[in-house]
Amino acid sequence: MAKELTGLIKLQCPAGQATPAPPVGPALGAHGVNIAEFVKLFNDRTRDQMGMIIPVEISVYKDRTFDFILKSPPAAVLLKKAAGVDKGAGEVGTEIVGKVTRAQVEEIANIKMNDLNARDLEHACRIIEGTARSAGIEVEA
Amino acid sequence: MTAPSRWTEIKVAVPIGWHELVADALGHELCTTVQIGDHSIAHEPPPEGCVHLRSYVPSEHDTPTLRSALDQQLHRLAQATDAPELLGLELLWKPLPPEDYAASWRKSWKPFRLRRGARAFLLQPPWAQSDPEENEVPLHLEPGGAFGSGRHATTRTCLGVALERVRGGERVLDAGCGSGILAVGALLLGARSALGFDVDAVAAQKSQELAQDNGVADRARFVAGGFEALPKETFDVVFANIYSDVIQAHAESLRDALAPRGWFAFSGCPIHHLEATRRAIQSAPLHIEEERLRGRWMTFVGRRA
Repeated sequence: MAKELTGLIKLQCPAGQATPAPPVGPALGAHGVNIAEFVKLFNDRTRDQMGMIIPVEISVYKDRTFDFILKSPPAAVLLKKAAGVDKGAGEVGTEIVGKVTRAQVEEIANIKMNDLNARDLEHACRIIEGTARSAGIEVEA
Repeated sequence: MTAPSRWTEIKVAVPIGWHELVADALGHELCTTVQIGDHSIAHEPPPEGCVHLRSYVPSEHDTPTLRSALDQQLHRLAQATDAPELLGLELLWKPLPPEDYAASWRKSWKPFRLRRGARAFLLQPPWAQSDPEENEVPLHLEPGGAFGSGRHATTRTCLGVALERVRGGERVLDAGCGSGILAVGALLLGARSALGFDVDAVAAQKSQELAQDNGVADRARFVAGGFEALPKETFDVVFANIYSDVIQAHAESLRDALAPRGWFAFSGCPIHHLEATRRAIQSAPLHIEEERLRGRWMTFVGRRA
C-alpha cells in the first residue's frame, strides 16, 4: 500500500552479515523499526553475495513499517569486473592490477549516476576514474 | 541478541558523489557497515555540497593506532584518486551512550486499543503485554516488521469494521493479507474460518505465524499468490486492504468470492482514486453501504447486491 514516508536510510552493508550493532541499530531504532526483522530479511536476500559490500536503501513509513531496496554494486566492484580482475590493489594506490577503457568508465558512470548523486556525466566520470585509480585500475586514454 | 555495549561514532563530511569510495575506505574490520546521510532531522546538517558518512567502532577498540590508520587510509585515498576535494577530510570521533540496540527500538511500541461500541481490540507487542479489560480482544502482534503494524489508517478502519460487523460463524477471505491481521482479527471475534492470500510469499508465512501466536491457526489458511489462487468457493466476509488499482482490476473476482448477502470492506484507496474505485465496485456490481474516510484513505463497506 502506498504509505507516507518518514525516513530514508542509506547504508553500505556486508552481504549476509548485517547486525543490530551501529549503524543499523541507531539508524533504524530512531524510527521504531523492528531491527531484528530488517537484519534477517537483508541477510536472507544477500546471502548469495557473501563477501560483497551492498548499498541498501531503507524506506521507513509513518506506521513504522519498512521496506528496502538493494542498489547497484559499488563502482569499485563494477570496475574490477570490467577490468577482469578478482580484487583491487591490496592497499590503496600501491599497485596496478588491471585496465579499463574510457568507454567502460563512461558506461559505469552512467549506471552509477543516480546512486552517486553526480552533477553530470563528467562529474560521475571523474569519480569513477578516481575510484579506478584507488583500486589500482588504470584508465586507458 | 547482542549484549549492550559501548560504541564510538566516526563521522566525516564528504563531497557529494565521493561518498561510496570514502565509505569503502572508512569501513574497517570492526565495522564494515557505513551509513550514508543523516537518519534524523535532529542532526546538524553537513556543509553545503557534502553528505555525512558514519562508521562505528566498539569503544574499547577506539585507539590512537586505529585513529591514525583511518586518517592515513583517507589520505592515501585522496592521493590515489588525485581528487583535490578529498584532501583534508576530517574524521570526528564521538563516544555514544551505552544502549542495547537490538532491544531499544521496542520502547516506542506500546499496546494500543481500537474500540468500536462495546467491543475493542487490544493490540499488544510480545514485550509489552497488558491485561485486557472486559469485552477487549487481545491481538498479539510483533510490530515494526516489513508488514502491517496494525497502525495504518486503512488497517484501523478495517479492524473497526470487523468489530462492528463480525457476529461469529463467518467464513472470511482476506485478499492481499500482508501480516494477516484482518483474517486473524476476524477469527478472534468468532469467525469460523479464514483464507488469506498475498502475492508476497513472505506474507503468507508471516500471516501463519500471526495466526499461531493468537491461537487461531487451526481455523486459518494462508497461500502465496494472486487472485488466480482463489478457490471457487464463496465467503461471508471479504476484506481487501490493498492498492485501489488492484481493487478496480479485480472487483468482479471480489464479487464472485462473496456469498449472497455477504459483506465486504475494501480499503487502501487514496482519496484521489475515490471516483474510479467507487465506479469499479458499483459496476461489479456490489452495493456500497458506507464510505469511511480516515486521513486521506477511503474504505468502502457494503454487501453483494
